[in-house]
Amino acid sequence: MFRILICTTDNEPGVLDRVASTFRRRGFNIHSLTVSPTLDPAISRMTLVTDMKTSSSRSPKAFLERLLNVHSVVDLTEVASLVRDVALLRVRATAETRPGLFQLAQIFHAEVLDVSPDSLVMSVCASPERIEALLESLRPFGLLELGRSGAVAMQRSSSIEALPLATEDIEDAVSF
Amino acid sequence: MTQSGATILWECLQREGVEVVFGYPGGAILPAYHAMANSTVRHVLARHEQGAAHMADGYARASGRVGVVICTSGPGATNLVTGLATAMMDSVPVVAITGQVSSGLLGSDAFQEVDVTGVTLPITKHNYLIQRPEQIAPAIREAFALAKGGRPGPVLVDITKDAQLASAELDWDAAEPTRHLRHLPPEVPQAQLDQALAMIRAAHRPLILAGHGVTLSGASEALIRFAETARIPVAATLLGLGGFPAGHPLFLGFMGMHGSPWTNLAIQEADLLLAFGMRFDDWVTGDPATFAPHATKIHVEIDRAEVGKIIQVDLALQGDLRTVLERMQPDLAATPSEAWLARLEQLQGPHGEVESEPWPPVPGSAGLGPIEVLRTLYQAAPDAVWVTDVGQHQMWEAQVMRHALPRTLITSGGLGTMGFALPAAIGAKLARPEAEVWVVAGDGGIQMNSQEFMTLVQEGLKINVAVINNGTLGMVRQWQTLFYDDRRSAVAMANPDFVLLAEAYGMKGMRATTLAESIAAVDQARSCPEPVLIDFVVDPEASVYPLIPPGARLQDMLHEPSPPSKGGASARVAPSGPPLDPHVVPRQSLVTTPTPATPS
Repeated sequence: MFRILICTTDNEPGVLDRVASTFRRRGFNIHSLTVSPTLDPAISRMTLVTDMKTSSSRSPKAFLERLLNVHSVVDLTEVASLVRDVALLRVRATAETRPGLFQLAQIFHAEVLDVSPDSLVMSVCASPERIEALLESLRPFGLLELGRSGAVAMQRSSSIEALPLATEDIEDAVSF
Repeated sequence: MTQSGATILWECLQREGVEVVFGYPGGAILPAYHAMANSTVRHVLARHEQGAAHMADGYARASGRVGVVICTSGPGATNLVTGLATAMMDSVPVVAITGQVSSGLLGSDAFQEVDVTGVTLPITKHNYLIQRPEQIAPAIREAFALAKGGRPGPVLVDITKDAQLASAELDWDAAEPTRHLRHLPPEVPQAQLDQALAMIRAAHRPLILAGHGVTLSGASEALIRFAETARIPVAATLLGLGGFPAGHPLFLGFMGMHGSPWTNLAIQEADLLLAFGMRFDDWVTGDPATFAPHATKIHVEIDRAEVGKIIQVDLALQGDLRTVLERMQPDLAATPSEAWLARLEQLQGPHGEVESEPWPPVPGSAGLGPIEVLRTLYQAAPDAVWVTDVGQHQMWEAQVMRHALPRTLITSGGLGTMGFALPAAIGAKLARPEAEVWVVAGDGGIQMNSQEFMTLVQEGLKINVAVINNGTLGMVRQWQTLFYDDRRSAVAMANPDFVLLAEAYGMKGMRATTLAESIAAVDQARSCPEPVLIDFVVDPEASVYPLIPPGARLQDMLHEPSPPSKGGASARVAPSGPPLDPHVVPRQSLVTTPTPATPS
């Protein structure tokens, strides 16, 4: 199972080191980590995904909250949230297989960015689970290269939270 | 008016109330040392940066104020590492200031350049790399606020040489820190306090586990009132000793690996544990799965990350211990604990009677028992500040001495740093010049920082040093005996003549090989105006008992084999009956002394 944490921090040098060091020292495995500035340029936002199967059973939240540079830590694991990941992937493509690949791209809302005689590059922004499904579908064609951004996550608005949620989004949050 | 970064640094330290710093100069911190001459701060020149760090630590532990250490970049700064880690593990407020190569040289592997903020990241609460003079005041103010605030700890400020040399305005008010307030816990909700009070009222076998937090939050008096009102006995961790008076009728003793047997058994029998400012260290819990199996657990702790880290608790109150105790006090009533107190009295057994028995000498050994030495020291100076090193003597000290007041035991608990005692005592004496300060160290540990004898003499400090000299690394030897087939690997120590060593440094040296010599030497040392080292030549085969083997259950203590044999071969497992412990001096009864809160 994956645990998703949103950590807001001071946007200053060394903060990523402190956060990553806390994870390493306390035995948490980082599955993915994304960092970017927020609407307030003085504040950074990190989305940390840990694989609890290989991590300490303790909660990383309290250890992160000990860091001076950390403003807040929100654990999205148990709440309704939206998770998106960007993947760039290069897949083997011949004249014969290209139409099938285009069809798959359409189904998964992926965009074909580059075409060469023997391969093509597509990008997809989706839930990590959906990206996994796309990868499975493309594997028979021959996957040549994969780059992923790591998950970016956000809690659903509280007004929407009260409504029944699409199953996919709940699954996004807890299982990928 | 602009002034140099170095001048700003000292101005800030003065405004923070710093009277003394411990340090060692060098290239990258030279501008700061140049400016120091204009400040009122006293500088104590250590002989090694590690010593300086422990001095700042000892100063902080003895006084409750922030200890300050200052040194140069590179090797100077890396020498602080053990001292910072020691302070981190034991939550001691220390601010370390290090020089750094000029900002233009950063990252170029310049002479004496080390990534000090990188090196010390996991062993400080926070650290700073300061490259401009106007950043100095905000960093220093925040460093002091952080070191003291919440759960205390060390903070390091690394200042480049050019930032010390360049000029800026000092705007003290604008530098007021706020970020450290982010994670200070909000007030504990009344509902949680009520819940705790209800659990306490219902308890028949309650027990307080008092940790370092009692001293750190100044909660000693509040704890005494709390325990007396609720009629709850108190056990202490190593760093909790002194937080509750050892002579108090409700004081049970030292808990954990080398704690008194009845204290550990009490933990296993209790139905309510009140963990006050302690973190369930593995030396305290033994096997966590079998720790206090019958007890509901309430944890009062300022650091949220400690809650549930080792032991799952039923109720956690995150906040300042003293505040929590004072808020609960008005609604506190006596618990129905009298039968429990009588049971604990029975567990303790008639140890008053064995008090006068001499420590049994091992045949063929020098004959002076280390416990006898500790008792002699305690009887001579019960109110002294005892600064211990790490190893057997540290545990004997904790077993024998009856610390009546907070900050009268200074020792490296969490990190277990050999070489800590001598420099820490120098810091302690400077923090409390009126106090009688004693170092108790083994022959191994005292040699780890013995260069600081010269610092002690140069500063004109009256500190007495008791070397418990068994010519071996005793605790390691003991573990090899018990757990490694008695194969003594690399523990025999050839030692210098400690009497001559002391005299070489300008101290007075004495040697004691019998109890009578020990008593005379301690008396002489106390009346001598100069610092004295006493070399107590003790039985090398003595071991610390009782002992809970690592990872074992608290009730599975090993006791002193009887009669003691050379090699200490066959330690036996505790029987269920009341164990006999020869270490303990008589104490007041738990049940016979009336207190105002005794239920009618």
